[in-house]
Amino acid sequence: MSAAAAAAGPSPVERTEQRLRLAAYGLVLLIAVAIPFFLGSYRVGQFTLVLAYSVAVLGLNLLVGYGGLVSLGHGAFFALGAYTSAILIEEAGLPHLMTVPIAAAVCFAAGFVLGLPALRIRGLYLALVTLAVAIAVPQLIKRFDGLTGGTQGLNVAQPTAPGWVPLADDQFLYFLTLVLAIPMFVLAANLVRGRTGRALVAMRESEVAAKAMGVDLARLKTSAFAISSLYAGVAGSLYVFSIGFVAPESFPLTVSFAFLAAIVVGGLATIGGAIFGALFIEFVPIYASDVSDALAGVIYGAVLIAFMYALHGGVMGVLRGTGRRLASRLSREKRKEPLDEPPQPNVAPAASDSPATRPPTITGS
Amino acid sequence: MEELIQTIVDGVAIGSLYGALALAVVLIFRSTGIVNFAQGEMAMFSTFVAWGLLQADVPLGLAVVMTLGIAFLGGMAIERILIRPVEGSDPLTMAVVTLGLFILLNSAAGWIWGFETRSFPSIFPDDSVQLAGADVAVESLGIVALLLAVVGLLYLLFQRTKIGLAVRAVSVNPESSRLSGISVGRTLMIGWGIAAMVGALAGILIAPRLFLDVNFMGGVLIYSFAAATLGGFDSPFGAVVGGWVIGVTENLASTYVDFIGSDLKILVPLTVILAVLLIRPSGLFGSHEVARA
Amino acid sequence: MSLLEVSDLEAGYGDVTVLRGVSFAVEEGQVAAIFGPNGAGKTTTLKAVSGVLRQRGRVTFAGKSIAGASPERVARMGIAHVPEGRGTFAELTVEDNLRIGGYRRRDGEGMRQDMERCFEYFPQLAERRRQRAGNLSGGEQQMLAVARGLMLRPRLLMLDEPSLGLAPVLTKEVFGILGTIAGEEGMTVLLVEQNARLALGLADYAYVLEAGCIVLSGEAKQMKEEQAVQQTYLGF
Repeated sequence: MSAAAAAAGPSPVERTEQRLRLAAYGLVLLIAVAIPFFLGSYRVGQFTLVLAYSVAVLGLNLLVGYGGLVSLGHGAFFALGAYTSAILIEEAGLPHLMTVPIAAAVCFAAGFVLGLPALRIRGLYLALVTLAVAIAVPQLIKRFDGLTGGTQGLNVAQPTAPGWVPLADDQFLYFLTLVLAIPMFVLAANLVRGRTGRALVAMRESEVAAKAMGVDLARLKTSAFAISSLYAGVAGSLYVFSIGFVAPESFPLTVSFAFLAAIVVGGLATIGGAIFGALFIEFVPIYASDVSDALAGVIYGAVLIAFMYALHGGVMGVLRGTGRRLASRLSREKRKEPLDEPPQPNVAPAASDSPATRPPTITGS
Repeated sequence: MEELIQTIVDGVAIGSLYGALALAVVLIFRSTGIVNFAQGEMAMFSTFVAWGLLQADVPLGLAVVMTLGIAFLGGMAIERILIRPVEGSDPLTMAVVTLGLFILLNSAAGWIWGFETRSFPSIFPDDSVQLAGADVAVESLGIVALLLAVVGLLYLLFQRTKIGLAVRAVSVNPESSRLSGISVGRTLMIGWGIAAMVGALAGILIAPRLFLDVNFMGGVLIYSFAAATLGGFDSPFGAVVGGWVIGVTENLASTYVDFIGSDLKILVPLTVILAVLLIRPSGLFGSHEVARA
Repeated sequence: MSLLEVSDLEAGYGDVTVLRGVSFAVEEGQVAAIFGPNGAGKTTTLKAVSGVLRQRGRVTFAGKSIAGASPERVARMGIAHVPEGRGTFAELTVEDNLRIGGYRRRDGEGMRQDMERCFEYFPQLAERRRQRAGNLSGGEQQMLAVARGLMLRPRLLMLDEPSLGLAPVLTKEVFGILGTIAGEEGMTVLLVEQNARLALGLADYAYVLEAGCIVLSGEAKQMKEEQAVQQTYLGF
């Protein structure tokens, strides 16, 4: 795009695309609000969980998708947030909502601490360290059973709808979760579109280049871990409200794997992908185990691998591609053709000047 | 004193088991730069295959040999079908694919053989001998001896044979290897096959102690990663030594340090991983390139 | 029939076309050189011939088409490509590097003899036969790369910018040895070089490649006298 074209603002196709995107958000929000009124309480509970998971997935995507820092330990912070809320509600008698920012703060600090080794360790070694943390957490929960209730777990009172609200308990819980989730999405979207987002992507592409551009890698890495853990912590609190029970068994290593799968399926480095990822990890195991319990995992693993091969952009990638094609078709129809000229043929973007110079590509090495 | 010797010898034996799986992990890392999170599950699957053969009244020795062969083919197939399409991708893609394989193998094993726990016979006799005045199980000594034999065989394979040369060449410089006429794809397949065989042997040696179920290699994998990290991720020798260090340390810790006990034992390898990566990322015997991965 | 025949070769990287229809031939026993400025496509040409890059056009070797063949197959057919940057197996010993060069051969005794002959051509390598190849100097690594190519017992030896990154004294030495090898073995050589003087000094026949096209070709002796060549490439 030439400088002149760039200065002229978004093209008609891009404007249509933006409008389509806003329409899509509106549609999703509408569906989200409608769900509790059209589905039974069991389903509503499932969707409440989806909302909670989506916050966690969002946080992980910031770290892994945008920042390129592979973490296999997200489940640990999810557990930390859940237990923080659980203990504060049951032992300290705090109201539910108040525990959310506390859990967020605790996880923020913990994430920051985990970010410190990230300064010295990279790539797959970092993944190993986070893996170690994820495995350690259930054991540590069991060990400190005085505080955490150990293997028995903790029963946690769930939020109930106050009298003046015309909603059933499950509906209220759903909306509470929704109301807490939405700002998390907005915050993430802003983060990603701003300087932090650009710095994260720059770091992911090349740490050397990012440093040369003035990015403070140390601060960025620790912040990335801290923020993503904060999200996991909030998600953990929402999880506890929803389930009403925590135990070490609730947070095995597979939870961390599930979150990783979710960001892959939803779409790496996307905001909207968090929802699809959360839907995937909540519903696919259930439907897969309808077919067969053991086969559930096979399907799960196979889908994961398939997404890495074929659908590298995840569900969001597919949606975006569709949206782009739709937008370009819509904006072309809007263009009025002059009456005395024949309609312009469908002009595909020019890739080469002449057929003879069709550029071949490098073979994979 | 007697208890100490037994604890140490047992620690070396257990450490050999960790080292055996670590060896498989290191083989793949060295030849392809991939950390295979599914190595333990591949070993588990192979052990189940051995169990299936035993159920079909195949004698133990023959079953083991057949399993090794099947594992070799399986490793080759996994490389060709699952790994080749994403070879050379970024660490996240590789991690996700091997994790996907982990989940897949775990569930496939459950689907085929069920989720119950079973016993698995040891390939060593159930005797004990006297070592420095203490009773030591033949099995423990046998495991250590077998591991050393495997290491020796691998050394000969990689240093003295043509195929070993090819594997080393491809791990160092695949492009140049191609220009010398080496079929990189086939060499990678063989590398994975060998690693799968070593992993299968590890599973067969571990199953008598931990009992055979779909999750029995899960914990072992972490110990093996710790051993590989400690030894240096690209050093086969380091993997074995790392395994011994961790085996002995863990055994001593859980026997003599009260706080640790049996459920927090897992903290030992985790602390090792963290400490090594922070202090000396290349481990005891790894090369400097390893630290940059 | 020439040993290597290339017609209308096109190749590039991604969306960028570098070679726009290059044609040349190398006769058996001949030393042919392609030289030209930076970015002209010299390395691309060799990569296209040896199959590292995908290409369009015709490439025949000893009468058989090798267009689209993988590098492994091209090597097995007897073309040794000594790559730009030397392609050393740094972590392995010098001897192992040479063994890799002769990987496809089945004659153990012949290989041993060839290895000794390589050590005769390159005494510096003989001194360091058990050392880690990565510890060798640039010039020694270049010698090692050529030796590795020779171990293939190729019918065609292709050299990609052997002078790159070498001190003048070393390049003189390397090219001197190359001349000896070409003479003694009767080896067919395709040399690609930025240093026109060295290229014309070694070659029998030469091509000038500019911006992806062959602009001039002829006997090396005549090329040296060519005024345009002298002014542009020989610094007269």
